[in-house]
Amino acid sequence: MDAIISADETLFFWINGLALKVPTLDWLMELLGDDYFIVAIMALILLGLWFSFRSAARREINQRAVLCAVAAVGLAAIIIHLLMVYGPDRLRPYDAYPDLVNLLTYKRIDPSFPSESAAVSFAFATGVSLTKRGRLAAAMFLMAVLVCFARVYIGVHYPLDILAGVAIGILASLAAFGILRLIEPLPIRFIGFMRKLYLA
Amino acid sequence: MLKIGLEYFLFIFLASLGVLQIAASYSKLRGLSFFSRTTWGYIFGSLAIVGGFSWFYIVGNPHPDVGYAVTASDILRYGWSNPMPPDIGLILGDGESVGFFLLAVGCAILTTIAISSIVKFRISPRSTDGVNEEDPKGLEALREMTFFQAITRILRNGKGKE
Repeated sequence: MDAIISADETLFFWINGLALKVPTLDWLMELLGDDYFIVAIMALILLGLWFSFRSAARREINQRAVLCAVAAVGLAAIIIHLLMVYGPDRLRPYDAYPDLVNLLTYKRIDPSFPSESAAVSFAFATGVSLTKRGRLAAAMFLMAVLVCFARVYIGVHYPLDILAGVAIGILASLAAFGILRLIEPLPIRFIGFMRKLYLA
Repeated sequence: MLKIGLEYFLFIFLASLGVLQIAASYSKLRGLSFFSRTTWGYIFGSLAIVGGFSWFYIVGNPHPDVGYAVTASDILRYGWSNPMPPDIGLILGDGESVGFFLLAVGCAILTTIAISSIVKFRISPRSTDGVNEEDPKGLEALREMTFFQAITRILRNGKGKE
């Protein structure tokens, strides 16, 4: 376990050591690693996906993808909060090594492990990709990977926190996908209800 | 609390308006679009999204030094005033950011419905006398009529059946 923690911290310092060298890259990473930025973009993509279609078949696929992603994010958030309460209380890198970390953002007061941003962004991307494959899903995965890298770069997470978050996000999506199939026809009925209101 | 909550709400509201206009243009939902030409929908949508993000990240919301997550219990306890010393910045808690997000999206949908129904009140629906089998349902119906016209159609049919 010590070897894993040691490798994790070595990788963290290598990535975080890239900070404060190129101001434009720092600005970009700070933006990508922000608590709201990518999550807001992904949630707005879901809003657009719900209302975007060219045919009835495509509309249903899009709306099922939105339902799956929303369920996945909800499930991932619940798991993350349980782990934050009952899991290991790992200090943030800037608290553990205050003089060595290049911190590019404000200090958080919650535990470092696991990364909620990584879990939520991967839950969004995987949730959509399970129902709708293509360029949009690929773009969302790319955004999720960028968030993960940025969170280490700006000094708020170790790579192991990110890996745990990614695993939680993917597993939550698979579980949400399975649950939605299990409770069929409830999702279809929900979409049908929204169609009666002219909102689906 | 008021500042960050209001800023986040307005940011999401503006961006959602933009997303809905782009989606309406892409899906050819004439009854949900503010404009008669789809190009204007794309332009307005893009400007609203970029404007919302730029305002929130560049103009409106400088980062605090310490991010203290405001919770619903803080709001109940302190109201809309800042409960923390002024040197500690505030960010929204997870539940609160989800709540503000859903509220902003809901308001954006209602605003889109209201504005499009008002500016497109002259749109001529294919039929308002009754719902036929071939009549489009759900969002597809908004390609030919506004939301208000669609709701009126339902109400008329309901009265007709009585």
